[in-house]
Amino acid sequence: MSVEQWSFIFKTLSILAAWSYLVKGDNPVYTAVEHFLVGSATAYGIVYTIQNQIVPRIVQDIIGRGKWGYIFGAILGLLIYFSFVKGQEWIARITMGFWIGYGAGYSLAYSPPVFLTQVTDSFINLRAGDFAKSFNNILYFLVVVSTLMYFAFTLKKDKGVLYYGSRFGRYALMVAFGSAYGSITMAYLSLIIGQLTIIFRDTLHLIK
Amino acid sequence: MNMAQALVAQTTGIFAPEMTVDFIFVVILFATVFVVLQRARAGLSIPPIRKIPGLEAIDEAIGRSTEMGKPVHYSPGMSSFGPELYAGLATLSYVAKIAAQYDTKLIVTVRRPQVHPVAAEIVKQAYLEAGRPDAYNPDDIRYVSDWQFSYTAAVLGIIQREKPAANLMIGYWMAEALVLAEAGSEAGCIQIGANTNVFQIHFFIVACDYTLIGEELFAASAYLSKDPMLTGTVVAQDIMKILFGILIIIGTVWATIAGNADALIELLSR
Repeated sequence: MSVEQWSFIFKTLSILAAWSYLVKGDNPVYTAVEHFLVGSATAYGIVYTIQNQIVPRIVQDIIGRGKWGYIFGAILGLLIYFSFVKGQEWIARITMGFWIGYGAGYSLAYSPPVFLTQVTDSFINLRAGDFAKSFNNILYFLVVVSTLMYFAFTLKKDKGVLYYGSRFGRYALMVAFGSAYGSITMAYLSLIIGQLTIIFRDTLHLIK
Repeated sequence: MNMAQALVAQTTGIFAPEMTVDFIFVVILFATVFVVLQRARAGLSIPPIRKIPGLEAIDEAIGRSTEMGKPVHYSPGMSSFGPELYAGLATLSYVAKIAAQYDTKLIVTVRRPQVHPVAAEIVKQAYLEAGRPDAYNPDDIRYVSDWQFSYTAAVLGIIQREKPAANLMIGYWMAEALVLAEAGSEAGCIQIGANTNVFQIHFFIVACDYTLIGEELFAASAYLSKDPMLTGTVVAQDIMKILFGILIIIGTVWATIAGNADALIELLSR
């Protein structure tokens, strides 16, 4: 048997082991494949980080191109290991603070363009020519505005436009989620078909 | 301006003239937050946040775990450092404090290695604030795997083996949303899910007892703490939403009267 055929057998056994969860919940077969998956993912992550991050940064950038500034980043990252040193845990907070600050800054820098694009994309003509398109645009406009009303947390919405608007927004959200549920479930079914193809076509050769 | 244009614009210098309008909106947001926070500091009234059932149910979920003598499972989601994770970690702090007060075991699973020390620090601090530093067990804060589906498989196993009575999934979730929510449901957990991913949130709606939809996640820390300062930031966000809502109405009326809103879009794209 070829290596490829062995790989299909291994994939099939792994798929069946994972699906055994559906029949018997947590069981030794599922636990074995779960640990194999977590272990192999961790091993892959370590090798990937060494090959694609640590070695290129040290060999190519620091030694090769003389980018010695990278050492500061490395030191900052390594400070996180102080969380294991009793009495010196506070040093690890420097790295944590940097990560949290970086995340906040990155989000702030890139979010406004996305929001504004969403706003300008909502500028639509309610008299679009034919009835169906106009109706669609009016519905779109109402859903956008009412959903915004739903997500206003500190406005009083016990009566009037805000009451009915936010209720309509909530129903509109549920309709949208129902529609998304259907389409994503179909996508998941295609994934299952892919797994069945591995079992019945590639491994057992029962279908062509 | 779209993301690609913004990226190009950012390479042109410290101040990108192409992003002037975006900058103005950020300044308005900052100014609004500043003014509202000043009001909160001065003790002036701040409108309360409307009732969010999913957040009200957190105490109930932990209480149920305590009564049943079972642990609580918490995950701050799949994302790395960003808004959803911060919201998830803020809620984790509250959950850890309640769990410490009730003497209930709290299992936290994280996907990102860099999130693990932060989550551990938050839980440790919460136990300290609750006056139970001895009850903190670092082994209950678990980094599982950086790979999406190995994390999912491992959490599935943890839920089945340790049988938590409450499963709290507060953050950003992708294709694993349904798998984890279904596993929690199968194990008989009371489940609270929160997600900002519109392509996956419906799975939480069908499989969880309570779901925080989108932005409700970001109001969580203010809602739970009842801190006027944090509530002030939610008020500021609401003001921005009203501003954007008015802008959408103006743009739509403009497009309906003039046939299109290109002139306004051009103005906002500067």
